[in-house]
Amino acid sequence: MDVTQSSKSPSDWTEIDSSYRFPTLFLASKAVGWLLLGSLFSLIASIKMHSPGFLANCPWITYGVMVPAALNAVVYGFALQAGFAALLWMTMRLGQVKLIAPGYFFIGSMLWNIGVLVGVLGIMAGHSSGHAYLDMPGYASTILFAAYSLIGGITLVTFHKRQVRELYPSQWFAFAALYWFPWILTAGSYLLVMSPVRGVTQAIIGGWYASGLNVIVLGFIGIALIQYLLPKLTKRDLHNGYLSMFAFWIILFFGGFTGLLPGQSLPAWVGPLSAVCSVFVAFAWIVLAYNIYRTIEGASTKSTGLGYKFIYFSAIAGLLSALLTAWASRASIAEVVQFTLFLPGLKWLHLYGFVGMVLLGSIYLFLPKVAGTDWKSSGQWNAIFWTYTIGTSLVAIAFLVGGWKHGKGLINPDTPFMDVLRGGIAPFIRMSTVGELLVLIAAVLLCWNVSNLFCSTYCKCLFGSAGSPGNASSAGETKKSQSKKSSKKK
Amino acid sequence: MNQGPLLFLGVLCAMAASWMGFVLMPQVQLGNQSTRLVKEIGRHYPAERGGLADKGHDVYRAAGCATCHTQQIRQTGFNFDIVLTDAGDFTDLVTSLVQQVNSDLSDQEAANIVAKAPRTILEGVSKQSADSIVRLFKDSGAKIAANIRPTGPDIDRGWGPRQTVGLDYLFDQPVLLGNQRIGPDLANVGSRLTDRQWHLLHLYHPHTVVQKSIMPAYPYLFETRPAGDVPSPDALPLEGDFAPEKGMEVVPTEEANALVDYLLSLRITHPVFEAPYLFTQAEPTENNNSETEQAE
Repeated sequence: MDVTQSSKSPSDWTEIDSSYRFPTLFLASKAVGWLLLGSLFSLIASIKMHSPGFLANCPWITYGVMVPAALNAVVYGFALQAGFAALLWMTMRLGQVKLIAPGYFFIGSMLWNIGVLVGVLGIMAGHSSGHAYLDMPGYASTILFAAYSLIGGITLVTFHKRQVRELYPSQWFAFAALYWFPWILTAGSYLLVMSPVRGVTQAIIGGWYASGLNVIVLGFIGIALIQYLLPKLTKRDLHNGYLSMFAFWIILFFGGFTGLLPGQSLPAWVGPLSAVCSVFVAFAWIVLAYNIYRTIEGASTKSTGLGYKFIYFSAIAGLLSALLTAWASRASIAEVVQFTLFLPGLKWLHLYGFVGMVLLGSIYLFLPKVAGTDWKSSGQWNAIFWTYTIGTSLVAIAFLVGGWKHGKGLINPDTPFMDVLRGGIAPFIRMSTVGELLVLIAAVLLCWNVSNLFCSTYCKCLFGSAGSPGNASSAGETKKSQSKKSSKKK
Repeated sequence: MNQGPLLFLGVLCAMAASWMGFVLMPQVQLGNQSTRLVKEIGRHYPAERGGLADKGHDVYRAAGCATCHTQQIRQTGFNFDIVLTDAGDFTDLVTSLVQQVNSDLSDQEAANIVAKAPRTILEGVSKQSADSIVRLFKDSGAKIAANIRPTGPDIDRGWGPRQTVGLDYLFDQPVLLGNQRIGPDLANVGSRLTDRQWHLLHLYHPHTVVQKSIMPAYPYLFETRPAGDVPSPDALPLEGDFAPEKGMEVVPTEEANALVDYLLSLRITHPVFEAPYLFTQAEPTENNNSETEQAE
């Protein structure tokens, strides 16, 4: 299957492009803003680990509040939102279809940002639910669900109305992710926050929500984009669609069960079941990685540019995180890494390394095409890539290695607890602070660039100098498309 | 594959499977769990917290304490202590059997054990050896007890006497198991650290009681106010760098008191069916200073 092929005339493309220009630009620009805020919160939390007195007087930014606030800002504000934008773009391009109901879609996007804002403020005000990844208070998840009904619903209907009926592997992943999310969001927030079940069942449902969100929703968004962008960038076909399909079904059926380590307070079957499923998912990832490797084998990095580097690193991080998750679920390893920094290390590898990286790569690649203007500074994008990559790697390595040491200390009762902290993990936490600072710098640069692009597309329009979004050539194209509209056949 | 409906059905099945596995199944298994009579303590367990401690749970959740503190004790297994409870009439035979079981004992020590029963003969043996030892003594007229003892690093650290089980969290809403040990486990903190003042000082600024702690300070849970003619009995005894300005005093707010009440209510003081251990009425509650230093 060739992704780059196009049966449409340029004017049809212009019409399609302009139908989703504003929605995707809006989502992407808000998403990078949330990444900035999340990274800032992360950094504040990290600094608090060295100096407990740092900004201690304010309950809104205490450590236990900053960590979930950062996580939720990054997951809901950045990853999901940028994911929606990228999936929308992919759906349009692959299906060659116009966005239906852009007005409602915009309302949905606004509502989503309000929901995330309310949720993060709710966490900071002490209304958090106490369940990781679903820390937002119930009223915020209700807004998120309403917003998603519009965003996801319209994307799915648009997907359904696609002109190109044949499905490209990326579309299965995208479809499943979009379909899975409202299900776990409603089930999770109903059973945990609004009408909570009793006892440790909460912990299992919390784990189910977190693994569904990470492995299936965010994971599938990432895989969809990797499989779409890498063949596109290297101008090749995906090596084998059946391998993709195989990985798709495996992760779909087993991904929802991963991520629960054998905790003693949970029923005994939970941990082993989760461990077996993590191994299945890791196997599917190996298949995916092989497929991707065969697709891009021999492509030169020079000719493919920065976007390729983003996606490439993302695929490596995704594979690594799946393998490490499976490894860490073995009983003998889980005993060491449970309750340690190893788990946030995995989170960083997955969320910032795999998902974040592929989303940044997608933003880098598709936003200029959507906006019709190029990035102002490619040097700054190089800086974003390197600071983000080095920062994320530093944090992930610090937490993974430090977490291992943390665990080795914890399971040895002769090591006093304070030694586990002070001598054991403190140096690694310092290393992670440096990494988080780098990620914050990347986020600042990213925000600057995206808002520049957003302004150059829409401020001109607002101030009436160009009269239409985009640069001169795209404005011309728009006019042409408008004149052709009446004689359009399809 | 280009059939949308097939894809839709597949995703639906996968969702249903995952929902049944991790939502429905646990609910079927644990949803009807209720309090249970524990015969060792002669009352139903667990009991609802109630009062200020319940509010403290809310403070604990809001401040995100579970970000750094777990409330679950892991147990890797169990072994047995062999105790001679009654030596019976055939002391010579029993003495030789005791020596046979624990060959490290000298004649004198073995005789001592037999004379002063109940005494522990051997510690930390597996279930199999415990069984064979019990059989060994069967016809000797002596009485032998094999006391179950949970093992694992958490238990060796003194964080709790047994593993935590689902029943322990029955009335917690939300259940805050935690998944990070940047700070020590708190499942049994109410038994380990019983001093209310210690907790208050620790929350105000951890360095007042634990020199090297990396826990954040929570000054916002306290009120610094002008001391009246008679200082408040609740005022914290702060010294040195931590002392408030002259004429001021630091008193805990209701939230701080609630949080401490909650922490003191976190106690694992008796066995349950899933996690047995030898229950003795006199639980050690006093800690020496060095242990207090290390905690938190």
